[in-house]
Amino acid sequence: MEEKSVSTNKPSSALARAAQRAVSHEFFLAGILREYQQANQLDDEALAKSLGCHINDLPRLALCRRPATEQKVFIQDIEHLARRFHLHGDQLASAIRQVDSLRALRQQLTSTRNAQQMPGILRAARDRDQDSADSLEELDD
Amino acid sequence: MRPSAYQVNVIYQRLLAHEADAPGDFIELLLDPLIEELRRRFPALPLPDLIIDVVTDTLLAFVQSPNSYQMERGDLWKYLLMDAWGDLLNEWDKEQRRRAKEVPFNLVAHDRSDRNSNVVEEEVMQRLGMTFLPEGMDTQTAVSHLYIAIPDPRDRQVLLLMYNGERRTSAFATVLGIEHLPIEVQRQRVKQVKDRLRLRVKRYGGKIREHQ
Repeated sequence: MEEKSVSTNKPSSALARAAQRAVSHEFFLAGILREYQQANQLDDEALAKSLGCHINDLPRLALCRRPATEQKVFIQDIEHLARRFHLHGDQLASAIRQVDSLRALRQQLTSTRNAQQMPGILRAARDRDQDSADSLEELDD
Repeated sequence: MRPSAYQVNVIYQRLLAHEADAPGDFIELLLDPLIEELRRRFPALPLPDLIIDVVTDTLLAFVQSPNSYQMERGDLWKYLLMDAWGDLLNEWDKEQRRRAKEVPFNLVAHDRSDRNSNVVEEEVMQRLGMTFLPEGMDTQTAVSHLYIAIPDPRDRQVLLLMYNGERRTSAFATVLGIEHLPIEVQRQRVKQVKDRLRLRVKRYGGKIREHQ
């Protein structure tokens, strides 16, 4: 594949804003990069340094599709992005893996917490049903 | 500046090929030109950031499902422009409804309460024949467009009077709610409003023939 030139010109303010707006879309890398920054307390400059790319390219990178989960395509996507932005592919892959692990862990914790709360919720629901039944019986009386 | 159809198509093909960096390139190529184009069409929109957000959301959604566009339906630039345009009208409509709740009741009465009672607006649109409207735009969309171009319901009433060839200051003063002011002040205010509206209509490519 033809290698594209590195684009280090400053992104427009609208593009930077779009990259922020893309955070809420799973499709883009923006959310991954944001979480990685938060988890590792990195500002934009530190993130760019960690990935080995130019800080001006961060919004462009954020607006890229997040690499596919399937291993073979994942590697291809990482290599593609590494060539395009002249970044450390292994570092980008590691950042994505780290965020995915954090998300999985968070999901697991949420499920566990919900499961722990469930008996209490069910008990409260049963109590309420019992109260309603008692009230109905009183009305019948 | 609007990119060429060739430039757009090259990146569109990369989107279809699922290249990881194609979404960013596509958005970067089209974001600012589309914003510029909509700003040119709606220079008086009181919420300038609305255009940026609407165009951004249009592009963010499009790159996730590029197959939604079918080439035989026409130029991709126009497709995206119309998509953003429609979303802008919807967002503006929401904003108008939100604002309508904040204005006094007598003003709301002038404004539309539903989409079936746009008598004033439809008549203005018919007479205005705005040349900037894309071909095939239905009346309802055109009326929504008028709401963006001329957001104040009193202005739209004044515009209709102008199109109807109304010359009496008292008629305009009633619409503007300034009948209680001295006649000289009324004349001055009415002239200001009419001049402002003439200018705005002119900007949109329309023309007022008041004396016909």
